[in-house]
Amino acid sequence: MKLLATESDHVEGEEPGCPPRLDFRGRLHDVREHRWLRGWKVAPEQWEPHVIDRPDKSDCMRGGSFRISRAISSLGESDFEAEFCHGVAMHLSGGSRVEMPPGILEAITASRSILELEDDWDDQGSPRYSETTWQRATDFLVRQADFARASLGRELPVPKILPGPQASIDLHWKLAGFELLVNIPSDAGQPTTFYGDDYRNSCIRGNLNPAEEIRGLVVWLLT
Amino acid sequence: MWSKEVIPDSSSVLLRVHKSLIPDAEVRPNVFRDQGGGMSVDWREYSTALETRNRGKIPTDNAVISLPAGGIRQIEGLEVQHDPVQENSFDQNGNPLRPNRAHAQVIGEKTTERRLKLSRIDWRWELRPGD
Repeated sequence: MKLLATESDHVEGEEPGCPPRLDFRGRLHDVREHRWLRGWKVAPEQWEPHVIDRPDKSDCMRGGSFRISRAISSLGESDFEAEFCHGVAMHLSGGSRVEMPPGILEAITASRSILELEDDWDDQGSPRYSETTWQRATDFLVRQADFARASLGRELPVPKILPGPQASIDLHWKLAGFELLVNIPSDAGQPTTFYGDDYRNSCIRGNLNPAEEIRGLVVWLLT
Repeated sequence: MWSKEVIPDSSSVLLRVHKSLIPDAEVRPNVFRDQGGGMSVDWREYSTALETRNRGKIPTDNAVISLPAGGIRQIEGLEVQHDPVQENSFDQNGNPLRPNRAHAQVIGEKTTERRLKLSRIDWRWELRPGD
């Protein structure tokens, strides 16, 4: 498995009955705001609040530690490897392994550059992109990739994650046999729209809930 | 004062594309977007690609592609209309606009479906990123 934005992740000071303690290096931002930990939803408040201050402008941590939530430690896995969808990886000692397709992780990590665009970044008045929109877009992608792997035993093709119009985010799959565009709007109250076809007569279009597994869409992508 | 003319299907329009939209020099559906009432383009009849690029605030941050007017019109719900910017025109905020006889609009909401289809029509590079 390819680890992104990490160096020398390891566990220390693990005691029976206590949440494991991790040392890691990566992007602080990813850790603080990440709710998605490979199949377990982890509420932000479950993290220790003193996670570490940003040590420099590069957003990269030099090191630090935090307590992983009970939701994970109670799994009882003796060997567990987990990844945040932003690309930060952690290792606990011992046994089972959960992985994400490296291509999906890389696409998500690369797409963080969208958040660096300021208002009027194109000199035509386009607004900046919000963290919450990006989060919804990447959560949606991880959810579909998880479903593809867990339920269908297949890897979801890797899309491009792109700055869309009016602070929305596009997910674009362009493959030999089909093309699909999903648009995640900046306003969560607006519908997420999609359109795809096989370059011929077969097409799909409509609205979807990005917080759900869209089984039909995933199956269509894998067909 | 310039009159509004009919842009024939056989003609083409020029679209300025910011470099942030084409990091891998590939034109994808996110390039196509409305700014205000439509997607602003220049009719090639009255503009070169270089002139179109130079209308950007930072010209070198932009590439320029051309799109056939007929190809745009083949996408249901889209129309290409000549919309020259006359002398002494102002934007919504009251700022003066530079006159531009070539200015045109691609009218019709840029839905997900239409944006994907726009990315497929026979567009061509006129000025690539960095040119």
